[in-house]
Amino acid sequence: MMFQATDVVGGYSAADEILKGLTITADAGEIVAIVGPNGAGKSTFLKAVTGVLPELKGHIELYGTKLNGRRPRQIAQMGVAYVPQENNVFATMTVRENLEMGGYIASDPAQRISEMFERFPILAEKRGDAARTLSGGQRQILAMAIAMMVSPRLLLLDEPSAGLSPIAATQLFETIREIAAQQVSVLLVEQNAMDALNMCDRAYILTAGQNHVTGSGAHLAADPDIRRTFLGG
Amino acid sequence: MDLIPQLLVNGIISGALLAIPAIGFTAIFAVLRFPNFSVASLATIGAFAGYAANVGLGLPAVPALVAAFMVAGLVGLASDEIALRPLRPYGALTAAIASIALTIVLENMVRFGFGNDLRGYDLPLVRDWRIMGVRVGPQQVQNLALALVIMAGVFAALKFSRIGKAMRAVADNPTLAELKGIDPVRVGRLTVFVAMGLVGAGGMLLGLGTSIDPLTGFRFILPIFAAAVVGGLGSIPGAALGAMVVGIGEELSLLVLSPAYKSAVGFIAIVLVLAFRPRGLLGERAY
Repeated sequence: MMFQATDVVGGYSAADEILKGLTITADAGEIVAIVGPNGAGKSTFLKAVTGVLPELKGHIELYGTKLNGRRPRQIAQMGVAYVPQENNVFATMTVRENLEMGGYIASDPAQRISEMFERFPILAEKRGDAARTLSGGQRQILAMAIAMMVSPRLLLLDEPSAGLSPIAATQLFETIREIAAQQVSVLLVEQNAMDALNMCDRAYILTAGQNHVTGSGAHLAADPDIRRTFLGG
Repeated sequence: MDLIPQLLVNGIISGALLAIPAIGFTAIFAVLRFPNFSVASLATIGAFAGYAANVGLGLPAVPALVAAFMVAGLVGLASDEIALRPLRPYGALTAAIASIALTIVLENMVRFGFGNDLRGYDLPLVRDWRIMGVRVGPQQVQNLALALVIMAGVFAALKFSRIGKAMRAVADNPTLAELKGIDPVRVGRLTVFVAMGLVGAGGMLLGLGTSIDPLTGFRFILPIFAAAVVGGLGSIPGAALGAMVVGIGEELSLLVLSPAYKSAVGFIAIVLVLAFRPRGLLGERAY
C-alpha cells in the first residue's frame, strides 16, 4: 500500500482521545472516502496524518517511510498535501501569491503555477485578486490548486464541497477524479456521504473514532443497512 | 490659520519618521501575535548605536543609520530568543508583559553604558529653507527622504521577495503556512530582526532632529502604539497611515493645546479607533 495508517490513537490532548485505533490504507491513484457521523474522528484523522495533532500513537507511513513524529513542514516535503475545511487559503494574498506559497518547497514553482493556471482557467483570470474576494467555489478550487503545487503523492481533502452549490460541487468532484488519475492518492472526508461514496473507489465508515465498515464505495452506497444508519435512508 | 501649512508639513515629516518603528511594531504583532513593547528600548538602542557610529566613529548620518538598524536588529533578535520566545507559548498577554520587563532591563543597560545626559548627533549646521512661508530644515527633508526610502524598501520586500511573501503568509494564516513548508520559527526570527532594525533606525531618525537620552524610545512608545492601533494592528500599510494620522494630529493639536499635551493625541486616537472602528483604518491586512 502506498499509504498505511495502523492503530492510530490520538486527539487534541492526552485526556481528549478522539481516534481510538483507526486503520486506513490507500493505494496510488485511489480515492478513499472517510465518512461517518459528527465526532467520528474524520477530520481529526486527516490532521493526524499532516502532523498537526499534538497527541498521536500508532503508525502512519507513506511508501514505507514513517510520518508520525515529524513536523507538518517535513510531512509536506514528503509529498502530503492537505486542504483544510476552513482557512484553506491566504485570504489577504492574491491568487498568484497563494500559489507561490503553495509551491514554497516546490522545485519549479513558476512552471507549476503555469500548469495550475492552465488547469484552472478561473484562477488565471483572477490571478491578481485577493483570495478573500473569491466565491466559495473559486476558493475551494484555489485551495486545491495550492495543494497541487507540490505535486503531492497523497492529497487530504477535508469536506471540500462544504458550502458549495451543487454545480460547483460536481465540478470539484470532477477535478478530484482528474487529480487521482495522475496516480495521486486522495483521502476524502465528506459530510455529504452519498456523494463521497458514489465518487470514491473505497470507503471507510467510522464511528466514535473506530473503523465501522470498509468496502467499495458503490457497495456501501447500495447496502440498505448502511443507507439507513449513515446516509439518512 | 497661517500656522496650518507649517504644522501640516511638520506633521507629515514626524508621521513619516514615526511610521518606521510603527511598521516594526505591527510586523511583529502580525507574525508573532503579541504587542512587543520592548520596541521602546530598541528604539533607544538604535538611537545610541547611530550616535556611537556618528559621533564616535565619525560616520555620516546614512551609514550611522545602517549601524542603528543592524545593532537594534541583532539586540532585538537576541533578546527575543532569550527572554520572549520561551514565553510565547503561554499566551500573548504573558509575552507582552515580559516585553515590558525586557524594555526596562535594556533601557537601564543603555543608561549604564551612556549615562543619563542628553546627547546630540554630529550633524552640519545648515540654515532652514523657507518655501511659500513654510520653514523646513534640510536635515528634516533628508530624514523624510530616508524614511520614505526605508518604507519603499519594506513594501517592495514584502511584495516581491520570496521571504517577504512568506512573512505575509505566516501573518495571514500561520497553520496553513507551516503546512505548505514555510518554517514559522525562521520567519519569526527574520521578522524580529527586520522589525527591531526598523525600530532602531526609527529611533535614530526621531532623535536626529532633537537629542537622545535613555528615555528616547520610551517617549515614542505611545505614538508608535497609537499609530499601529489606528492603522489596524498587524497591518503594515495601516501602521504607515496611522503614523501619518498621529503625526499630523499631534502637530495640529498645537492650534488648540499646549505642546505639553501633544502626547494626548495618541491616547485620543486609540480611544476613538477602539470606540468606532476597533479593527483600525485598514483592518488586519498584513500587507
